[in-house]
Amino acid sequence: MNLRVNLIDELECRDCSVITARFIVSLLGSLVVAVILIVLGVTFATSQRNAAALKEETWKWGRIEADFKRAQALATRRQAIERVASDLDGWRNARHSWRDELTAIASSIPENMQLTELRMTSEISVLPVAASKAAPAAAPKATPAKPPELSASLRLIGKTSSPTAEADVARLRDVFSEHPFSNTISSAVIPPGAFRLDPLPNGDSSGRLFEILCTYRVKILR
Amino acid sequence: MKKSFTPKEKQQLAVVGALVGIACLYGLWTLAFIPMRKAGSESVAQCAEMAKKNARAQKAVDEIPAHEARIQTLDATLKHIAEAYAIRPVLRPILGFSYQLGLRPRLDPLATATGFDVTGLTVQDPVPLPWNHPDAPLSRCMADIVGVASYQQTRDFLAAIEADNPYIYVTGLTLSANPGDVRRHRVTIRLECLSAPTQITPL
Repeated sequence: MNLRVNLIDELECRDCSVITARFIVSLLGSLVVAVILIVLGVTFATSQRNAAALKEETWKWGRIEADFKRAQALATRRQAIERVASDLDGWRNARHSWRDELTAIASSIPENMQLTELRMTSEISVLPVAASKAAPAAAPKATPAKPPELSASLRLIGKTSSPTAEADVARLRDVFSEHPFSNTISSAVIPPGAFRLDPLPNGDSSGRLFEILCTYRVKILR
Repeated sequence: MKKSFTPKEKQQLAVVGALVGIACLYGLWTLAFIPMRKAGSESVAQCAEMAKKNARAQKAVDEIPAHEARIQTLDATLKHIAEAYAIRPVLRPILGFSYQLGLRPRLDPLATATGFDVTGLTVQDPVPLPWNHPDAPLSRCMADIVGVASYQQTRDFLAAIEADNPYIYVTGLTLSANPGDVRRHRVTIRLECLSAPTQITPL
């Protein structure tokens, strides 16, 4: 027989357990707020630290800027002066030694031939610099100009009355393809019509005029 | 007396609370967290860029002594070349500058020593060196020498010119028969010489 009578309304019943729904909600709420505050705090601190680092780097730049500009000006000046020195070196090193050349030519001409003219011409081809005064800063980035080239040629004009004139002239031409000329001369040819009868009225009927054209190797002046 | 809520009211309060909480979270996220993160990442990027720029600048600044030493050496070399080898114009009171008069004293002793008879000397106006640069610190001028000499004398004269000045360039040579004297030929020599502008200014 059950004598227990419950006179408390169901809504007014008290729960004695420690872990209630209200406790869990409060705990979760507190945790969420704490996490949010921590995240915001960390983010704020990081942001402040980054701002300070940026400020420090800006300060460093302010200190070094003048020296950096000076260094850049010096580097540009050094580049310009090195270019001049390099051009002068190229100029000096590309020279033909005409003393050796004339000595070698004199010793190569056979006794049955006589040179009447020796003509050497050389030319330095320089491409114009596309200098833009308006944008000098862009100049170092521009494609470097092609270095000047030195091309030279040697024309030997002579005569011979040898019975084997044609073979002798051909042999002389071949001499220019051999040492020491082969170091400097790239080709030696007898131009078409250059080996011909001597037109002078008092000339010997066996007299022949000849020309040999030698082209030197192109030298780059740099 | 404390009001007690019915379960339905509690549910409604919980929903309202959750909605308010979510709204607060969203507000904090968009108004505080995201701007701070964005500002932070921008600062990091700017800082990294500045640090890189500063390191580059520092490296360039460290090279200043090397630049200065090299420039000093090259300036001295160029000055020596200009003073020792460049053809200098000679001032004439009325006609201005003459590179011809500057070249003549160099060539005459060599010609005399080798027996080369100089019958004519013309010097063209110099052009800037390095090549085609209007602000070049040096120049080159072309000189045409006309003379009479034997093959041997011509060779010796050229050798003397080349030995005297490493910056003189023989760019043309014509030896042709001289009907008047079979032993001495007519010779034309074209030289390209390093020449100095009126005022040498270091680069």
